[in-house]
Amino acid sequence: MNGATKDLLEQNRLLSIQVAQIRYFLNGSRALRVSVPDVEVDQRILCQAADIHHVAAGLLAPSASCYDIGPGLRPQRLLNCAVHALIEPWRPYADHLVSMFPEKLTIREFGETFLQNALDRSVDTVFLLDVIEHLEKDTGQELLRQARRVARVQVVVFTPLGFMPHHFSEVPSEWGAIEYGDLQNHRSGWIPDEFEDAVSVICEDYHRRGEVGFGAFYSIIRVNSLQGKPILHLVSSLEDFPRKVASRDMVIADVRFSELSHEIAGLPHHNLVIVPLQLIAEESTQPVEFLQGTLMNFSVLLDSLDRFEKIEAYGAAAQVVLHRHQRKWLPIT
Amino acid sequence: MLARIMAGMPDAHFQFLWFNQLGLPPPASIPNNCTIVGEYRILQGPVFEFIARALQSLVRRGRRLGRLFDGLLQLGQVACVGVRLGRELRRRGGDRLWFVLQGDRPMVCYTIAQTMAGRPYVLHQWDPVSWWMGHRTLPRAYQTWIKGLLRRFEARAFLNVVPSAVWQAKLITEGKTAVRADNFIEARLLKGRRLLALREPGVLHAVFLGEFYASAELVAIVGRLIEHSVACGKRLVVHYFGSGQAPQIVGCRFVAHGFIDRDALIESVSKWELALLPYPVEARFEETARLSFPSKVRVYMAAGLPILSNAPDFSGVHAFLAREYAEFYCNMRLAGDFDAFMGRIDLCGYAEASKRFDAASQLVLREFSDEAELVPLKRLIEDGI
Repeated sequence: MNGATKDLLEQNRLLSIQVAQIRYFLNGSRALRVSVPDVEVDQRILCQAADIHHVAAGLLAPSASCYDIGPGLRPQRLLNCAVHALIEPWRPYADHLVSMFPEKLTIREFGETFLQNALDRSVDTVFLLDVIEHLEKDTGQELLRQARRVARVQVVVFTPLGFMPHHFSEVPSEWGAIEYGDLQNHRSGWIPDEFEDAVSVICEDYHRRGEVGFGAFYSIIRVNSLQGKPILHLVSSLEDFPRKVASRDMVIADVRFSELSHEIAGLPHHNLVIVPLQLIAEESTQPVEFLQGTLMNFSVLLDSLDRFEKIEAYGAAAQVVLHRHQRKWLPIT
Repeated sequence: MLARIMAGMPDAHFQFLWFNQLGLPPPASIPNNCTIVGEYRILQGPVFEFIARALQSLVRRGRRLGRLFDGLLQLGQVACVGVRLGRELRRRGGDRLWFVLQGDRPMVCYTIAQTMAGRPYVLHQWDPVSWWMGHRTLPRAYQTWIKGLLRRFEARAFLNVVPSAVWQAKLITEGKTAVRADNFIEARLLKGRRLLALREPGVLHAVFLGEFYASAELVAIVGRLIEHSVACGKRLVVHYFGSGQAPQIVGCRFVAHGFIDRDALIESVSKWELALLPYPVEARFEETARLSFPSKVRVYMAAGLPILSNAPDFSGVHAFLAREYAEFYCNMRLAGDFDAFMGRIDLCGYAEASKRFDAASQLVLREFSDEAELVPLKRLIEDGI
């Protein structure tokens, strides 16, 4: 092999690493998240490999802090958390994380031990991405139990669908020249049914091993807390409206934000229902029965106001509607 | 739909003269190239109201003469609107007129207005006039007269816009110019999409869009689905989008989503498993069933959903779906394949659903996209100048 060929091969290797890094960046990019409306706990979203990370990112509740258990060489990129702690037991990986991600907190520790010592409800989100398949089943279940205890909002798991054999010697070359150990071996297989109170995002053909395909899935386990609960946004003015809402939140906006108005650009399009809020506010002496029989989507408004525990009103008309709801729709004279 | 067509012709400016039959409030928003320049309502006033009340009272008592005079009074009021509209059309400039026909009264009004204005026009219908008249008990002679007016009005139009290929073919056979256009879907929305499917163990999620005008037919579909779900140990959830009160049916949970933006609707419903299409089967709606084409079917197909219908076998929509969408369509009025169809839905994995989604996208792109409908419509309108 002459020098030129060697140079070409080396360049090819470096380019492959860069492609893998770009793919990693794009896959986890928050900017590309996909919102799927009307998704409830115990439901599954089936999608293609190219969408799985974006869909999962769209289902996550915002978090200020997270524990990223066993990140390997790549910390999670699904959520932007002000406090992001990387809990990595394998020394070569931990060293790499310290040098590559100085703005994050890296702790060299096993996830089980770390979580056992963590306080109840002490962090918003716990990430277990490509972690539990490396543990024996009972150890993995204990890790999940601890994660549920520690998380205030959600626990996010990503793992192969069923058991996917893997030995540390099979680590792909694009991961770079780093030392691997038997912690990388797969020891258990998981399916979405094993995760309670979770929304799962499944790709049935995620990993390719020659002719054989293996699926993978996210399970986003909702942990009970007000912060994790969906919010109903009543919008009659865009002032103070945060514009970005979680995928399970709902927006009820005034008719001036309807389909053919340019003002709709100011609102998210998922879970959006148009109701004449301004008109309801103006007709505050009308009984609810009259409004119900007259106004578009009024029954949806009533149903939503009853259903959501957390309601935010933006604009004077929205606040009047919320006020009327709180007064059991008694006419305001 | 009209707004969509008009928004799709940004170089043209549209002035609306609105015959507001029902006294509705003005639309919250209209395309930027449109202006509402006039609104016409049925004349009201104390004298008219007194006469109308007296005639209604006679009608309620079953007096034939009362009914006749009541009809004549209404016709007179509509004719007055037609004269006012015609005068305004004559006064205003503009290359051509666009009449949107919804019922027998506009037919009378437009005939008068067009006669006075004397300008080339497009006639746009999305349901046959018999559909609008079918909900009221109108004398046969009056219905025949209205249909005669319509035939002449269609013949004089330089272009008829209708929602189905069957209707278009009928008009062309009669020597009229016709094009098919309805609630088309922008091609850019259909290209490069990937399916996101939602599944829930032990639950069948179905979708229904629109009004409950075919309530009995919907109840029949849901009843059959409940039987099937119970046999499979599943629960049935029907997500409905639109106004109106959903029927209360034991064994089925209806989830109301209200009205949402049409494009968001396509994306939103594509994740569920089945679309429901009840269609009127009563004999008085036969012409509607033959000629019309519900725009919800376009949404169902754009969402790549399999469709379970309860529609007469002579209906245009059944013929189209049985021909073009056969693999993903079942009409429960026809004997045979309901169980096999539902069995395929129960076992449908992501790969199959994704294939169906892609095939449906191709079909909609070919038949119901802006490229398929708006482009020819624009060309025909330009040719008609």
